[in-house]
Amino acid sequence: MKSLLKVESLRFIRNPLNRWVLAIFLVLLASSAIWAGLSASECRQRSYQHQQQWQRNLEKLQNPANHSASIPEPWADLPALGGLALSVRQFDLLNPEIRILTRSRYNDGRNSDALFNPLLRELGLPDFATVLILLLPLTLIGLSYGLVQEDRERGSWRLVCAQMAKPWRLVFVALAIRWLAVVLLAGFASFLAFGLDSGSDVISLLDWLAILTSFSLVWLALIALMILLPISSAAAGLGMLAIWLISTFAMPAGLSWAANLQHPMPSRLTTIVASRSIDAEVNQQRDTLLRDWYQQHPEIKMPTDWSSVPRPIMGLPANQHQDQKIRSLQRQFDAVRQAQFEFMQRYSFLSPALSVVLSADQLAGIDAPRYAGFIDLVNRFEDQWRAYFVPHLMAGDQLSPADYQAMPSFNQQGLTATANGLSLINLLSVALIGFGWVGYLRKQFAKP
Amino acid sequence: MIIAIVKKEMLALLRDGRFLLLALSIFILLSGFFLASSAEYQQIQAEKQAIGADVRQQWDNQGVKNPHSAAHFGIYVFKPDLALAAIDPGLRPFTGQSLWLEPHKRNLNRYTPAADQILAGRLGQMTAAFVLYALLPLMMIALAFNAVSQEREQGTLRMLHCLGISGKQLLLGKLIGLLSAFILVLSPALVVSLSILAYQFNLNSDDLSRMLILSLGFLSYYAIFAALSMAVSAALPSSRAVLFSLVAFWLASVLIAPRIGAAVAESLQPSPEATQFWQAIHHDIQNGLDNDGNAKAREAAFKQQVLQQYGVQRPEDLPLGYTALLRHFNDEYASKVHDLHFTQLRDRFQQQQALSHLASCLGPTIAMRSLSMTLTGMDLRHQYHFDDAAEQYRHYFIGLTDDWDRQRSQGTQRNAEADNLDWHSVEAFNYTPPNWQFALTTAWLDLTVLAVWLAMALTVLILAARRLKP
Repeated sequence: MKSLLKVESLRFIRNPLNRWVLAIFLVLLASSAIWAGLSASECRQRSYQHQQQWQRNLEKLQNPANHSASIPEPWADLPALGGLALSVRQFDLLNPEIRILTRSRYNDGRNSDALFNPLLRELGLPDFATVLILLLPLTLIGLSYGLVQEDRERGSWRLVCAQMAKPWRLVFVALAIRWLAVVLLAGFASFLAFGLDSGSDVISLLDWLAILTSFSLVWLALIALMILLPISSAAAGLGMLAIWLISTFAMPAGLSWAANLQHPMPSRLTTIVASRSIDAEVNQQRDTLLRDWYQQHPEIKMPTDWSSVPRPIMGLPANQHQDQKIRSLQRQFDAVRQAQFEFMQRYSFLSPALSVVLSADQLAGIDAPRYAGFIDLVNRFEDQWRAYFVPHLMAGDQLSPADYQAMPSFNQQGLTATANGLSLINLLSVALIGFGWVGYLRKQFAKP
Repeated sequence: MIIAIVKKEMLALLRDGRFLLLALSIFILLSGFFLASSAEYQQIQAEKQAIGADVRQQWDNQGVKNPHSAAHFGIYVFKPDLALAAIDPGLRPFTGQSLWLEPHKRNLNRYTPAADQILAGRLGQMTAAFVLYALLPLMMIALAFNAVSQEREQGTLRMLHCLGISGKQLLLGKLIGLLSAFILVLSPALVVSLSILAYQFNLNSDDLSRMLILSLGFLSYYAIFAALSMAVSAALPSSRAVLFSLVAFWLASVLIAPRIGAAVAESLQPSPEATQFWQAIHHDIQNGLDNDGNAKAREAAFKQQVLQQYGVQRPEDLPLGYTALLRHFNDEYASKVHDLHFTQLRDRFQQQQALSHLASCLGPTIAMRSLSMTLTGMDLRHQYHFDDAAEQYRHYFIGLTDDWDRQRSQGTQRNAEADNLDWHSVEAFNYTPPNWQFALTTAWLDLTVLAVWLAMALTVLILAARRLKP
């Protein structure tokens, strides 16, 4: 077995085409890893700077010497997880920072929307996980192309069969060497990406390496099955390419379509009309809501001269009432995204690429269930914030540093990682089934 | 002789099992995706129209209220897409679906569809355009990769040489044969797609001109892949090496170059952060541009000018609504600041687009994608054209509400009122998209890149023909 390993390794490494394929794979993957690692680090740095800025503002407010009576407007941040380098683009696409206000945050995009060039998003940025799922299978296919079938066409497989009692051993060793070469390079690039990301952690890296290894094993099993088929090397090559196209592009699109059928995404445009109806309705109830508010807060005296109260203050109860109604409309989008994510993850065994993308989102902390959890936390914090500040505003209080010290702060503790290992189980199951078949049919390799 | 080679090549391809399989795949994929895309397009357009009508009705029936409060209720506008967007939705997933027009502020489009999707286009978009720019070149490669190398491997290339056929004649004949067969493969799907387009949409001459240019663009794009496939097939010793090289080229052009281009553009010309962008606008409005003075100074100067103009001592004594007058003055300044920053942002995005073309050295796909979305009216420039029209409309209707407010109040009173008759009198937003010449002018860089790639591919083919050895 040792000599077999040695001979196959030599045969593999001495082939200049194999070296070229591996070199290109490494360069592309390493470039993506460097970009992703640095971008993730930059993203964390931005978030850190915002926190610092907020801390400075807070200190100013809490310092009696620099007293100011303004209501601060903090940003609630979605904290990225250790695997941010895997899915930076998705983190930027969603709105991981939301401004907390005493007025509605929904109408104005300045309070939450990210700013990006749509063209660059359409072209696609080199997120590490995405680049990996595109390149790794193609590299494995390229390195394994012609194995057995090309030897059969040349007539040399006949010699192998004549000389070996178990030719499948040779195939397995050859495939193992190719797999090892690809996984080592992918692992190296992963270290690079995680190493350059200042906020990465070992657990996320280990989780990712497990996903990466399982993904490569699935492809190894698929390639081994294609090699088993009694077809020409060109046909096997094109077949593998077709499997790659179907599993990487068609199947995820199909699952996305099925998820949308199962959990239809509501229309944003219809929501606009509904929000405006609420706006118009609440506008008519403005005075009633204002009086109701004072009745619910007997400790605050209702002004006798309304003209002395600024209009934005008078509108606060109506705004809050309106926001509660619009919030439930907006929340449904996150709930549907969460349901679609869970649906797609359940069926991700049909597409190894999809399993990896979903896992990468989970490791980065930007998957739909976690994002929905973040929105719930933001909503809760917004309620606390308003419950604290609105009475002060309505009473016309001058806020003291002590008031600022007692104000609520955004607590991210309730936000946990949602990685559930389902994608890993899916990938390993598919790989096991594939290898089971290959093992069962291994004697087919003995056919000259 | 070339005609004989073309005939032979076409016949060989037609008899090839791969050809039938590919023809069937192309037909299913292209027709299927086109049907799905056009159904989605129709649904989106119908929804935009219905919601546009609902939103307008809400505007028209606000009842009696202060004109400025009505302006704050605002109007939503939606970009109507060209019929060709059914082929290529372009930037639709990443641009917002609606634009809210309100006083004091200029907004960006909101609610990008991609943000509501799990995959958000990371694994390609299942549209007819994706088949046209990504999958068809791969099919072209699958058909052409062994066109010459197989002749060499089977020994027939030597026989062709003996017949006195030059390399140039052989490769040119094979190229024409391949392209003819390819067009033949595409024809059924194209006929179905065009019939759907013609049946479901009222195509005008502008749509047809855009479609014609788009077809020529795609033809050049496929010719680049065909010529390069033929040249590589002639230059490399084995079909295996040819297939590897061509798939690597496809991968680089279709999947890698756009990502590298986007990363290079983002690194060299980073997009501003949203908070910085809005804060800069706020800062400039408060502090003034150049030597305009800060908001207080500008207001004081304006107040002085108005009081002088009407010959009164206090704003309370003015015969018209001073609050509305001052608001309009401030809004005009805010618009000036917004214009400046929006122009800077657009310039940045345009620079990013130009920089992303640097990666076109890896393949022609970026240029083709960009050309396609420009001709279908789904690129940045068409979006800006719409945004500018919407901004003009915002000035119009906010100006109108300010006029009512000014005319129906006096001094510093805020008691002006308007009713449904007034809301009805606001003209509807009628947007006319730019014509095909606008698209063609916008796409000059894409067309240049495609022309350079075509010239280069044909040169490489000629060089390969000269060096062709059996």
